[in-house]
Amino acid sequence: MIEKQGGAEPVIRYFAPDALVQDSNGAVREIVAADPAAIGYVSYGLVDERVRALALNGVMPTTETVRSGKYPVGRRFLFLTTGVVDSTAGHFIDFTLSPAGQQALAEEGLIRVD
Amino acid sequence: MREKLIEKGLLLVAFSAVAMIFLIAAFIFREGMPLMLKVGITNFIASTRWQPGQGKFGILPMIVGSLEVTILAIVIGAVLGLSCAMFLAEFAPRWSVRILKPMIELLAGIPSVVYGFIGVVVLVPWIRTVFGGPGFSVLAASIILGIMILPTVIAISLDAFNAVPPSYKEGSLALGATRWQTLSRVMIPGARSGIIAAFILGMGRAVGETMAVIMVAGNALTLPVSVLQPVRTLTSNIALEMGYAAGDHQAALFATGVVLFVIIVILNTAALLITRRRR
Repeated sequence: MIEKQGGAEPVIRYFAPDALVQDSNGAVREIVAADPAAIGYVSYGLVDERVRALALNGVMPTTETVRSGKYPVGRRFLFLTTGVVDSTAGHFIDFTLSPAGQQALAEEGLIRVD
Repeated sequence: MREKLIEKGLLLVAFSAVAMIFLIAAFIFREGMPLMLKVGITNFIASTRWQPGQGKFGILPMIVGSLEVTILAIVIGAVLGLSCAMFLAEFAPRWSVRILKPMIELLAGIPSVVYGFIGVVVLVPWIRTVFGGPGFSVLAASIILGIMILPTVIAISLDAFNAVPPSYKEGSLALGATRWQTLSRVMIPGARSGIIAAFILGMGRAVGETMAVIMVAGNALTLPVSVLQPVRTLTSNIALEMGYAAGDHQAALFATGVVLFVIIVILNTAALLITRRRR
């Protein structure tokens, strides 16, 4: 499901019911790489030399365009807790948001938030 | 005293296996039934729209998909498996039986991901280039499942052939029937209940298989009209979405499990009735 904040009301569109569904990003990439007619939908970090990323509304997905929100389909990773953050979980969240943590995530193809 | 203890112990273990089935059934019904009643049982099993985010839970395409894939798989498995069992029972020289039987049993030990992987790498591209369509299809899933159920079909129908009294076969041959006539007119009717049981047990395996099917079936949500179209089976639906489902969505997956459970109970009951009646 893609939510597009186009006008005053959000436009909600669905995946076509006859679209293929795979259980992982990797499997989608394999299909696209093997089938000349395929278009797939995967995480930015998984785009490699065997597949080509496409521009949406004339905007190519790059670290900058996704970060600025110019590229229309980006998603955030969320940390969920029960409200009480113990010290171990707290340290982990702090580390993820620290420059070292952000660097590690960027190397895996994710986009920094700092 | 010791004798009694062992007897009671074994009885307890035997019943704990049965208790397990009842616990599983009770659990999936408890989790799934409330949602099924909320959206309406007819609506749940007869509606074609599955949009969990919008509260639309219709699993008809998956019921049809599961049945299509299973029936086609059992046709493929029955033709190959029965031919193989007939050869092993009647025509194979003893040395070849000694090689073939363990090999077929080995087929049962191959993990389903491996079957799925071979399907993705070899079968799917082949179907795509030869027949067109996306390749991920009812056909791909059925062929993979047809091969996966071979060990079950072969082993049980072979046992059925071996259980036909040798005097039937000897009598037929002595009356001047050829080996093929003996096989088709005496052995197959004699082993009929066992052969049907073999097909139904194979069918049970095909309905329940998940991993290999997810990999080659394409998992689309449409009702598959052609064998070249992608399909999502009941088991695939549960396995694909359980990871990120919550609330009603998760309950709907349990309800999918309820439907699957009912289908499997029907199949097994059919197997029991057929084998009992023929004897």
